[in-house]
Amino acid sequence: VNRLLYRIIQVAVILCFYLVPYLLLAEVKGFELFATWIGLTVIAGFMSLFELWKKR
Amino acid sequence: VIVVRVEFTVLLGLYILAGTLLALISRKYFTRNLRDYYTTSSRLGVILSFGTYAATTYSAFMMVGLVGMTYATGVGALGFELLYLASTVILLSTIGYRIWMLSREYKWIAPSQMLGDLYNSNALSLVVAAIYLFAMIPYLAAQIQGLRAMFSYGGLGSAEATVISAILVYLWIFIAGMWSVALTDTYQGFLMLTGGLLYLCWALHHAPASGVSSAELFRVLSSSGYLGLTSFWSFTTFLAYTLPWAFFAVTNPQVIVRLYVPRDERAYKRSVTYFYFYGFLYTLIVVLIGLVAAGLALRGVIPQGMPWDYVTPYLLNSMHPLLGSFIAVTVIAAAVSTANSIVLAVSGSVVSLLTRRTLTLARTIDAVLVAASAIVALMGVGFIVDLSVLTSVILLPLAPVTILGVYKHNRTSKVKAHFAIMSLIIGVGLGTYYALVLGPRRAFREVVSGLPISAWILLVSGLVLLVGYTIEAIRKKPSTQ
Repeated sequence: VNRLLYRIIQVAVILCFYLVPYLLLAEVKGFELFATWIGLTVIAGFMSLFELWKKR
Repeated sequence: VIVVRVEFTVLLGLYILAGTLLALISRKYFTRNLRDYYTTSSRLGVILSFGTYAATTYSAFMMVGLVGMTYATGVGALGFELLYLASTVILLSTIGYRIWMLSREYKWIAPSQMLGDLYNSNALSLVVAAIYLFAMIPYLAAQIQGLRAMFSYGGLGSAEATVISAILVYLWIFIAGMWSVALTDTYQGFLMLTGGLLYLCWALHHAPASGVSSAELFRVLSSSGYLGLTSFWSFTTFLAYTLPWAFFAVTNPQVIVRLYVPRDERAYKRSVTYFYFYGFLYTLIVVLIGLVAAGLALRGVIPQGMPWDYVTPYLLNSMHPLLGSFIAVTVIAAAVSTANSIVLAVSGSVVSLLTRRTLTLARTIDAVLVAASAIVALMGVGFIVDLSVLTSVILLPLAPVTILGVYKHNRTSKVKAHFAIMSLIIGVGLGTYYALVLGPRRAFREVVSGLPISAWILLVSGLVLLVGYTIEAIRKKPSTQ
């Protein structure tokens, strides 16, 4: 179940790359979009690396 | 009159000399068998495994195409490139790790051989190798043609540039196969990052020197919408760009082969970790350069509306010749490190199909591939070079076949193999049809019933494969009761 949940969150993070800019930040002109995509990459990256380093 | 830049010629010579010396050094590890030639017999440590993955995956597109794309379309280019990185790290941590483990057992030399083994089908290996040849030769030709722009900065003509590029691509493969490619890739990966950093420092310094402060630069970017979604980045365009790249790590042979090379678990894990940080840094650097260029264009310092691929050559001409030459050489390094890895991966796929496999034959196939791509680039066969835009789209049907194959390989029958072949033929056929009807560039962004072509290819090929898995499951049920 944990692995499934983990995978669902990972897929959700990837979907956020599409959903957040087009649903929430379509009109922004500041650095919000820049920061959002960087934040999502950091979450996806660290979640994946954590999972990889736990593998034996 | 063509004037050859002395700085460029000297730096290019030094770059080639240092790379060739490294390639020659790598020969002492090369055991002259085919598996060593294509995969170093899975003996690479952390730095080389990471370096060769990073330099192979990031081509000259970053410093030329992505800078131009950001200059023209704004921060949407960051989302497109970061989505590639995020999905690649997810794939490398899950399916990539499994491929690395399986490769130790099966001792593959090529991804087409891997799929043939996973589905227990030689016909599938043959189809996949044919798809690689069809999709990757245009991509190679485009890399060689792209190199010409950088060589022309140094004052070299089209024919000389093509010949030098082809020789350079082949030489570092010929010396010790994957050993020399991995070592020179790592060297080139560090050159690429250094070039990117210097380019960014120059851009950030160039703005104030031209009378535009950093605050003003980002204010004008913000007010003109470049920090948000510009009209270019409609949802379907974003999807068209990101889908093929999201699955890049499991569809492109040159990167899949790199999953076979780490010598142990530690080397694999560390190389993925280092790649993530490298990719993150490199992407930010390149996108920031593009944003600075966009801001400078909006303030009238550089022209607006330049074609994407002209932005970096234009900026190089504004730099001190020594700096411009160094950055041009690092772009050449990015293209060479990608091109020779593609040649080696495609040649491995062809060789793995043969019963009589020799090193001489492998080197001959490498030479034929390089020569064919150079001829296409030199002759300027527009359609074939344009087809490179669709390379990742054409390879997309390989994503479901690879993912399901790796996770379900223990229960494979002929039914699955037949449906895998069918899904590849239908997916590749769909992409080729639209390339022929609309032209490759238009086909890439074309929307059919609300979705880009790449999404349809992925859906249709995935569905065909799932039908095969379902039939297999239904057929197995009675025997298990």
